[in-house]
Amino acid sequence: MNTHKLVLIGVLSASAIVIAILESFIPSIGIPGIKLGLANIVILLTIYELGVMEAAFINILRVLIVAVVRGTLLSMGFFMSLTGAFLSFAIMVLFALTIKKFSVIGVSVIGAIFHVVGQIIVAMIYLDSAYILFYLPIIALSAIITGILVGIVTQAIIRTGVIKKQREKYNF
Amino acid sequence: MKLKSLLSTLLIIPLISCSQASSLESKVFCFDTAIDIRLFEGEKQNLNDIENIFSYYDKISDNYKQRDVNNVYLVNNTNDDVLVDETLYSMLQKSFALKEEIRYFNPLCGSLAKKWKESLKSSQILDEATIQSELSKLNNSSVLFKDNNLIQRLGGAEIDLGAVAKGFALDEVKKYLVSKSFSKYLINSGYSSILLGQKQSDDGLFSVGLSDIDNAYLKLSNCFVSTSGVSTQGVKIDDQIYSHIVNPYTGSAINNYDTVIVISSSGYLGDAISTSFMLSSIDEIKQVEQTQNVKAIAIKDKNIVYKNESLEVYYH
Amino acid sequence: MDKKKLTNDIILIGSLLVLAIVSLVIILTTRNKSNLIATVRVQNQIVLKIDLNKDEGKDFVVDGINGQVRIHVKDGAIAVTESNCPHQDCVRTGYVNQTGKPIICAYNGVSITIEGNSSNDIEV
Repeated sequence: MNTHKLVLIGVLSASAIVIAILESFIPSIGIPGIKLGLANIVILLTIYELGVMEAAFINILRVLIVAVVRGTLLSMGFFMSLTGAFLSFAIMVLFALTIKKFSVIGVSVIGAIFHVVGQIIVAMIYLDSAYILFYLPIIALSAIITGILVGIVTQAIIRTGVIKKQREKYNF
Repeated sequence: MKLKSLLSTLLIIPLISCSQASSLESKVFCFDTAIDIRLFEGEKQNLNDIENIFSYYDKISDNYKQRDVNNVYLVNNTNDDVLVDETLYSMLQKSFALKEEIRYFNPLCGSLAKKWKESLKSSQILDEATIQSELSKLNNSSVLFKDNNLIQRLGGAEIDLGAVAKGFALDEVKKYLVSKSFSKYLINSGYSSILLGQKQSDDGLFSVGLSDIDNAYLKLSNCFVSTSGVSTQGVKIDDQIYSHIVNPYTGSAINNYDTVIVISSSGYLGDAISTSFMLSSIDEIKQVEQTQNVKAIAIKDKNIVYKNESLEVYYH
Repeated sequence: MDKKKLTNDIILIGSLLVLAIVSLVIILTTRNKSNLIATVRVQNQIVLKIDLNKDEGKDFVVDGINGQVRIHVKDGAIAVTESNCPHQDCVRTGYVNQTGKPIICAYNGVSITIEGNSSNDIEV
């Protein structure tokens, strides 16, 4: 693979991981392990500017490394993250590249919603409790706000065109 | 093509870190209750080792039936010398030594407590005659600690280590955990004796809820939490609650509080003290807190009637 | 930016917000009777889940490791009414209607825990 592309993926992965680790220090409200999903800035950016495979790689890498660093590998929180990351990734790819009806912000919001939905489903299975659903409305509200924020940041980065310029310059 | 090899490197990461499981749990039924063992580090073998410690202490402290090692039941039912192992000998020595320091703690309350249990089963108060005869048996009984781990019980009173057995077991479990350099664990013996290490979180503090008081909890780590109370074993007769904690001086089964929680650095000490505090006045509690270096909370009618100054109660 | 996409965004976010707020209001106003569920375990395996509201007045018999344990629900509380254990601690515990400490019959390996959304690590 193009060395420049490799380096870019490395930088993006590191960014996603650092954002996710910093985010993991924010205490979870309501359900233990529920996270905002700020790393989606990087994931969404990669989907739009690089490609689906690259974004998938960074996503999985992020979930694994953060779990290793925080010592939560194979815990309930880990599976919540994994499911949330997977679901939000799939839905964002769908709306970003196929159903082009929404802007980056809209896609980000949908991604954020599915991110928390995935986490809630796993929490419900693990804790064997349907009562967790009662937290969905308030968590969804925070997801919508996070989604808008993430979307705005991602859109700003896309607008600067840094990645597009890299790609043109180094042919990848 | 390179992307595929990158993806394959992802597989190595879980293998490297798989040894770090987030929590190992096990439940053993002994001491007539359930023991919940939670280790946040270590492996399955450590769980088994701890389970074995509990089973062993359960056997030697059993005062209801014979087991495959010489235990308290045997000592209570033999007039001669009984050979016991190092651990039981030491438990008994420590318990009888403690009797001199902790006012209402007396390991010879065994048969008095049993008689109360029987009469409370049929919702009846134990009659005064039986109480007096049991008290005189108690006052005329003793235990001789002889060389070579021989014990002889004299008199008719029965030894009952029920109040402190779990605490002793937890002390041994703590020794074991320290020897393995483990610091993150929670060992819950039937909710009345709890050993806290550190929690797997940023401040390492466990939130310990006070079930008598809505939304109240303590933040604790690295300590023993001993709780004595009337809530699970108490019987209400004529508006008065009678429990299994008996006053060794008056033979009464009426306690001053509904629940007493003692935080200490030793399992058996905390257990003995929390039992004794149920019969103590608040001044007596304060005195023992000082001399034994423990902290207590006493609850009656869903109110905290005493709380050590350095303990902070939080509310959700 | 694409005007059409922006409009779609606003419709999307707007409807999601409305949905979330409406559900939140519904949940907050209709949560009157707390639905307590008691989970019965034998040696750590869940064998039965009892709804303390819907199963009012019902009797349940659970097979423990050394015998049977009879459980009854009354006034939104649960108790062990009969057991073949020698100490009968479980029976003497009486009716419980709060989350926190479970009712335990050690002889039969049975534990009854009322599920709650307590965030405490343990209760004493």
